[in-house]
Amino acid sequence: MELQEKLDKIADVLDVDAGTLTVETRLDDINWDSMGMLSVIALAKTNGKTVAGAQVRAFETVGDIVEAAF
Amino acid sequence: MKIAYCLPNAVLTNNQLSEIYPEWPAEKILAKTGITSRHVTSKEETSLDLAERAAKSLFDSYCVNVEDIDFLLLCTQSAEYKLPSSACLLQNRLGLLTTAGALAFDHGCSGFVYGLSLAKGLILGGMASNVLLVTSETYTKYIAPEDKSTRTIFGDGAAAVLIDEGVAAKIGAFSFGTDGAGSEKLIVRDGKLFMDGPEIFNFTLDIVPKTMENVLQKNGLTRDDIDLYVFHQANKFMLDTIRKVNGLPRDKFYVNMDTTGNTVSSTIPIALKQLDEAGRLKPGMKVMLMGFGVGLSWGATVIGI
Repeated sequence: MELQEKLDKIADVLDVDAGTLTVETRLDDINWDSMGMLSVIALAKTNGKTVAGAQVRAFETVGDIVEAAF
Repeated sequence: MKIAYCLPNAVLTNNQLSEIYPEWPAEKILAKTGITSRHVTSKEETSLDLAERAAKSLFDSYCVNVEDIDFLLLCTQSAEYKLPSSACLLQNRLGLLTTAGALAFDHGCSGFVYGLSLAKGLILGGMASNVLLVTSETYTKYIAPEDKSTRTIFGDGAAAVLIDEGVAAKIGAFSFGTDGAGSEKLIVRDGKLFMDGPEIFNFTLDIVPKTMENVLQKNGLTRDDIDLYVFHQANKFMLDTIRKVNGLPRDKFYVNMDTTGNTVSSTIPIALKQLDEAGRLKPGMKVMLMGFGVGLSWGATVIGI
C-alpha cells in the first residue's frame, strides 16, 4: 500500500480532512484523544495487527501510526 | 423468555455532553458510540430501586404470580450496603415468599450470561423451578464529571428475566473465561471509575473469536447454525470492529444502544427484549449471547427461542 493511501485511511478514522496529514504531523496538533486511539487499534486489527494500549498512548506522530497499524 | 427492563427517568443527551466537552460534537459521539442519549439515576435512586422496578414491570407485563418464584438471582456491582446482600432486600421489596432462595453475585458485562448459567444449574439440579434473574447497575454514580470517555458510554438500567423449566431447557452449553491479571483495566477505586479503553478494546478483540469458537464447539454447532448474535452492547464502535474482524454478517449481528448506552449486565436482556418487540425472535432460532468486560470476565452461551 502506498504511503498516501495509508495516510488517507488514518485521516478517515481520525475524522480529519483527507490530504492534511504527513508522517511528521504531530498528534497533539490534531485533537488526538481516546476515540482516536480506539480507531487506530481497530484500523490495525483490520490489517491483522495488534497495537497495545501502552504503545498507542506513546504515539507522537502520524508516522508512529503508519508504522504500527499497517 | 419473559423479559422486562427499567431505565431511570433522567436522560443525558449528546447535546448536553458536547456543551461540557466542546471538542466532542454530538454527531461525533453518536458516530463512535452509537449512543444518542443515556439514562442516569438521580442521587437518591439506587441500583436496588431499578431492580425492583424492572422486576415489578415483569410481573405486571406477564401476570407473574410472585408466589411461584422460588429463587432470586441478583447481579449487581452497586450493592445497597456492604451487608446484608441486596438480594435479601429485593426479596422483601418484591414480596417473594420467605421460602425462596436469594443470592446476589458481583459481575459486570458478563453478568447476564453468568446469571443464566446459575439459573439453569438451579433448575436442572432440582433446587428451583422458577428463577427470577435481575441485573441492575448504576455505573454513572462512579464516573467523575470530567471523564468524558466513560461518561459518553455508560447508562444506568436494570432488567428482569423469568427462567422456568421450559426456558432452562433451551439454554445451551456455556463457555466462560476469567483473567484477573487485567483487573486494573476497568476498576472502581476510591469510589471513582477508571477504564483503560484501548486495553479493554484489545482484550475484547482477543477473546471474542476464541470464545465464539469454543461455545459453538460445546454446543455442537457451526456459525451457519446461529441466527442471531446478541453480544454485550459495549459501544457501537467496538461491536462494529468485532463484527468486521470476525466476518459476521451485519443482519445477524445486533447493535442497538441508541437511547440506553452501555448498561453493563443489562445490555443483553434489553437487546433481547427489543428484538422480541420488533418481532425478530422466531421459534426455533438459535441466538448466541456473549458478555465480556470488567474482571476481566467473559462468558457465552447459545439459547433457543
